[in-house]
Amino acid sequence: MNTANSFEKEHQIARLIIGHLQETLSPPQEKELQDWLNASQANRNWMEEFCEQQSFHEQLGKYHSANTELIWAKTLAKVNFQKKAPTKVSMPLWRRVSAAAAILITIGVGVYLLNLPFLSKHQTTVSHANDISPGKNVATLQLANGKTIQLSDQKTGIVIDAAKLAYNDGSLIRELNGKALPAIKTVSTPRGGTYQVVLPDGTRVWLNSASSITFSTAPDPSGLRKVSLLGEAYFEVSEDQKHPFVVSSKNQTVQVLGTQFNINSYEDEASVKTTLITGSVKITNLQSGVSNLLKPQQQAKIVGSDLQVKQVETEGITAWKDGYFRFVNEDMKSIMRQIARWYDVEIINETELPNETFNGRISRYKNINQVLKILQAANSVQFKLQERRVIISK
Amino acid sequence: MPLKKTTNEAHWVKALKQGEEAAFTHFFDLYHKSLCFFALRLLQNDAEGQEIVSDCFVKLWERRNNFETDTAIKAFLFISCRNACFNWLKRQKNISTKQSEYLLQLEKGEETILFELVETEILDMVNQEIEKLPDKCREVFNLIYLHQHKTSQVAIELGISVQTVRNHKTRAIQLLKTAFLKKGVSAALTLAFLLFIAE
Repeated sequence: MNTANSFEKEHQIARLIIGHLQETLSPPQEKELQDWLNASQANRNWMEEFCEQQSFHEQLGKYHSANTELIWAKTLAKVNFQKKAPTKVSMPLWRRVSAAAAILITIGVGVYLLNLPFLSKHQTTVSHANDISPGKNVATLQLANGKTIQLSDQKTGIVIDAAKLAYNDGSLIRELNGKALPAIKTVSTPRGGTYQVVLPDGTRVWLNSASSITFSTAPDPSGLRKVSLLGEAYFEVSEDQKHPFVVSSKNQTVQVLGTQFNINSYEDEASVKTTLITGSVKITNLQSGVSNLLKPQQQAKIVGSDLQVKQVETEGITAWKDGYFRFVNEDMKSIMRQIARWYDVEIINETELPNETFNGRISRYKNINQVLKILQAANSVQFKLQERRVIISK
Repeated sequence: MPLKKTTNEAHWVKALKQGEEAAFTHFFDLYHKSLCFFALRLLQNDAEGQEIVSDCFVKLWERRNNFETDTAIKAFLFISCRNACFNWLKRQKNISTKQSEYLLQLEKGEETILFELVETEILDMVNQEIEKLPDKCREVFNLIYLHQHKTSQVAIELGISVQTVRNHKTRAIQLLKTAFLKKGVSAALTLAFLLFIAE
């Protein structure tokens, strides 16, 4: 039988092939792989065959079909967890949701937040007395004449054009049927709300919680498409070279032709952050008058009259619109601000928050206790939920 | 008092040593699919593969004090799995041609097992990207590409419109493309992968 050593060598070649596909090999490593391919026809045949699309598809299907629940149940039946230290061992009911265990990207150093349905060590410390459900599709539409309309929480978005207003599934907003409307409108989400807005030019806006966007449905004499933003939104601006799209938010303006970007301009955040996904935007600091052009994957950070640009991992920044909290080297304070806005809770610190940073992805559609459990497992602090207050203690 | 930072894998290895079940589930989540695929390739038998994979994790828990690195844990799991598959094949009175081929290779310690290992690693990488898709996207992607359901069928199953299914599908492809381009997985693999999802 093979020894462990020879097996490690097999792993090494596996790593070389993956490295080759990822183009991360050094020249000597490339050579090592080439030598292996040159060594036999069988090696070359395999490489060709595996990368052929039909077979790859089949293998992926097989890989994916692993019966997680069953294997886990079999493992649990045989494993003896009781041997551990004399803490209380209470194996909770293992209701594994296959999607629940998302283990996340490997960037930087930090603590990983693991999305598991239980974390027994700290299990009892998150209070179960009450729970808070996640934010949902809630928003209001305000008209310049002062009228406010509660938008349906059964819909995910609203489509606005000069002539009419409708939800994004085509159904009309009942309260407005057939009435002439003032041009200036504001769509706002409360804490714990999110909504999508399609503007008359086709631009799509995802509003995060506690945010609002104001715009006019009449053409602006300047030829600009002007909107203003409070809070956080993700924009997919439809292309129109002749009519630049301008977003005014706290302390800055962002001018674009057609592109995708995210602006985070909450009052309780120390800076205003504009992150470009695709295209190009011009950002102007309204205090200093200084402008800067952003390239994709860049983020502009404005604090007072200061404007700084850096390269960022954009996935973490736009995850909210896809239903996730995505943390990339994020500190606890920032994480707790996001939780406060989405679950509409107040955070009370009875202890200093840890300085370390966190990485991970958690669905925004879990109840707050589940999210706190995940955070607690990676933390040295305790969370307690009292009505709409999260109390953080030692 | 601020905690000392730990790299996350070191954190889990240490947590496993200390007997934390959360660490055990971490490694289970990380490796069970790969091990399953690997065992299935060698055994051509689903039920036995599941038994063997669960045994591997039981052994991991029993020997949790022995490991200093994540790599050591992974190697241990794969070696246990390979050995268990080998023993099972040896015990069988009637085995298929394919199985006897593997048995022969395992007996000789031939490198061919390598192919199964490399395939496992690559599929693991692709699967990780799929897992990262937003929920609805992933659901649609899995139904269409892995379970080969029709678009109209998926719409009924998920109670959404055909257009929404298409949108999710397009978005899934877009996200996967971006993910792979970012990682620089080019060459043969990307091609193979993109071809079959481009439809």
